Amino acid sequence: MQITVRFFAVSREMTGAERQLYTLPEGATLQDLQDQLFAAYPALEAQRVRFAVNLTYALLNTPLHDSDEVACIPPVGGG
Amino acid sequence: MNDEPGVQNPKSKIQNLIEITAHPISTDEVVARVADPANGAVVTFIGVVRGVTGGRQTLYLEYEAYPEMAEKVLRQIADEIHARWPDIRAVAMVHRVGRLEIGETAVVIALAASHRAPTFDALRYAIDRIKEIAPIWKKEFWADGAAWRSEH
Repeated sequence: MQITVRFFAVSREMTGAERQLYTLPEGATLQDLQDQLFAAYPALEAQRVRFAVNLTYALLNTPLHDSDEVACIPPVGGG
Repeated sequence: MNDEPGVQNPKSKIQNLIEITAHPISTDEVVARVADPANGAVVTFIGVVRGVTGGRQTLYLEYEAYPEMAEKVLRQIADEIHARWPDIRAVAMVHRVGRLEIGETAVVIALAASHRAPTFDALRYAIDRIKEIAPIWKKEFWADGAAWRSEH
């Protein structure tokens, strides 16, 4: 399955990308995607990122589905 | 300010206003969106770009949002406010993104109720909750560097 990953703020700067496509095996979870991301971008691991799946904050055991949109959410600081 | 319909507050004919915008925010326009003859109290919070943080001179800020999710989270916060303070009749929350200079308005929150009692607590809740969960980021730029800022 194909997952779109969007990057914001410090994660966008570290990856040099606003979005990327990842291919994962059926049954993969957010944890599997995080493992791939941290392997590709080791500096991300220290950033205390959270993830959202289809616009909602999600736990790492969340199952992913084809064409899901995952966002890499570093610590927020609006206002 | 666009006229995209906001969340319908079940207790009021007024539509809530929720928006992430790249344009300067008019506080008057945001306040006007919650004004109603039935509302005797309107409170506003205006978040302004500060020139000095921790004794250090800031040149400007850059705000970034995940706009689709940020608007969804702001609608969720508005729903939480209506649930916790049923007398709040209208909620407007507008957050700006992009480069902001010192003194410019980054966020405006306006809440309206028939009487003042619930408005102050609800306003505090709104800005605290935005800072806590809205996917919005700010980067401070100084003469000699820059950094993303978070309270969490």
